Amino acid sequence: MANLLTIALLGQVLLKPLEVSTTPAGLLWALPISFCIALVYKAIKLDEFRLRLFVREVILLFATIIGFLILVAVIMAIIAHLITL
Amino acid sequence: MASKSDAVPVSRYISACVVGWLIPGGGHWLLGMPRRGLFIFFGVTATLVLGVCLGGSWVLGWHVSKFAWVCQLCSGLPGLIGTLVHYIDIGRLTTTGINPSTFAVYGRGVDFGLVYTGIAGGLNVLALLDIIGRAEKGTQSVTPLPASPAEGQ
Repeated sequence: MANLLTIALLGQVLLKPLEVSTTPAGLLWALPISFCIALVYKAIKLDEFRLRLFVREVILLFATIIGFLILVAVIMAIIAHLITL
Repeated sequence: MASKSDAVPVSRYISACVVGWLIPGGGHWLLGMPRRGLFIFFGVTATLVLGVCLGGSWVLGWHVSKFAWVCQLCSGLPGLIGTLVHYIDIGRLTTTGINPSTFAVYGRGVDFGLVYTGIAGGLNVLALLDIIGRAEKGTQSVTPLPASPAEGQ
């Protein structure tokens, strides 16, 4: 019974679209995809595959992606502010 | 640098490409790079599963976006299974008297889901291009050095 309930709940998660709010918190969905991109890219690109080096490179690339996203957001906000002056 | 006798035959790269397309990271595993393969598998599969969680099962398949569907197919078996599920869903709608072309799914979750699942396929293509690049270089040895902590070339 408990198993059936778990399967039913899991099925509901995969069937219905998730409610993504239009608040700034919705932008946090950029984090998981940025992490996955950093993970796969570095798994491919590193010449020498050592775990410590890999983790460091993944974190560095992840931070770079997020940093540039924030930079773009700031520039867009400035442009939007100047237009609406 | 690997000697000529250590070089991986081209047929192995071709089979690595096929396996790598079907199972993300499988090609790298086959070429003696299991840790790379594992991380590629985790990255691609996690992106696809998150996409389906965000947009629901309808983001898989051709109904919402044909472009995203082509990208999803690039992720191999997960994309193919998704297409099969979508085909069954279309059949269910038709048997209940609903025209599938009038069935709409929308919302930010669906948009995010399409981006996530599309990028999952794109990441798998990146992994396949890496295998092709290694085949062109032809420097990857069949058996990785056991004493070295480093893996891959």
